[in-house]
Amino acid sequence: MPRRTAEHGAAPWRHTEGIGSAFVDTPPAALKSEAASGQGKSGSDQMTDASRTPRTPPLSPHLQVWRWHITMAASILHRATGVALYVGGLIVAAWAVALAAGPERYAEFKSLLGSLPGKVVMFGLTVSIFYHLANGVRHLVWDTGHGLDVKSANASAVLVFAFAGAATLAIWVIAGMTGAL
Amino acid sequence: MVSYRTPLGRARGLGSAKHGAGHWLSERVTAIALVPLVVWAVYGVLRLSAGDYGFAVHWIQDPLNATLTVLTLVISFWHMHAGLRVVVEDYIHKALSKSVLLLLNLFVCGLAGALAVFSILKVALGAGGLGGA
Repeated sequence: MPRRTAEHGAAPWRHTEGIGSAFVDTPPAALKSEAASGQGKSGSDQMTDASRTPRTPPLSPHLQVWRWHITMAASILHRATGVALYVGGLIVAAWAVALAAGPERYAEFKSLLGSLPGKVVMFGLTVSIFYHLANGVRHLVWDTGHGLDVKSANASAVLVFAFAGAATLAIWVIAGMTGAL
Repeated sequence: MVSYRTPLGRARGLGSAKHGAGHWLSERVTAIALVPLVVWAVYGVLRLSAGDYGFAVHWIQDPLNATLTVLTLVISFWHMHAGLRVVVEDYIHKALSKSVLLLLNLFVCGLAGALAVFSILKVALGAGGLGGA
């Protein structure tokens, strides 16, 4: 019986309105169609149907099922920036090794990061560090049990995006003024 | 299927109720520590990008800079390991590839972290390149 929703093709709950309904375990639309299609059949018919055709087990709703909303984007970006910062951590380790290797290697390392591709990577890492920092604080606040309702979660996501953008801009302006570029 | 094993027998070896939160907690503790450290590190990167090798050596030989750099490195690599571990556990389900990636994650973080900390200490303690340049 719990497999019945898989029969109704793609996701009948695709058009759910608002973020709150996204967290409902069994989508109302799916419940409705299940009740409707069950009317004409007796219980035993359904049993034989189920035993005759082997079905793939239902998957939990995934990325392509939900309408995009800001908390979803914020969550995915937290992971993406985390992976980007993993690479950033390795670049910092390379900086330390280059520093210990002497002036020539250090100059090489600096000119590599100062090249155009290097600057693009550094810009991406700047966005990533400020985004991951702000959203990490958002997660820490959630861990205390605060700000978990839909309205607060949406608002804090906007705040995190705004902070990441503003802080990145500020740092690159300062970098330009102090001759770091 | 009827199992003849007792509930206790089935639960044994599947993890201790007293240690399950360890990974989760270590991710949070390192995250809290990294909030001020990362802000300081961004400032450090700004200053270092404006300077040359001599400035970097001079900067890292300051005890406060050396200490905070080593702390940032160690805690970052710990946090990176914890974070990527969750990513691997979430997306990779084949036992072999999962084990290989988890080990690789541990070894990469361990090696890169150790190399970075040793390099910083070498320069900070005055044995690097020009010494006290």
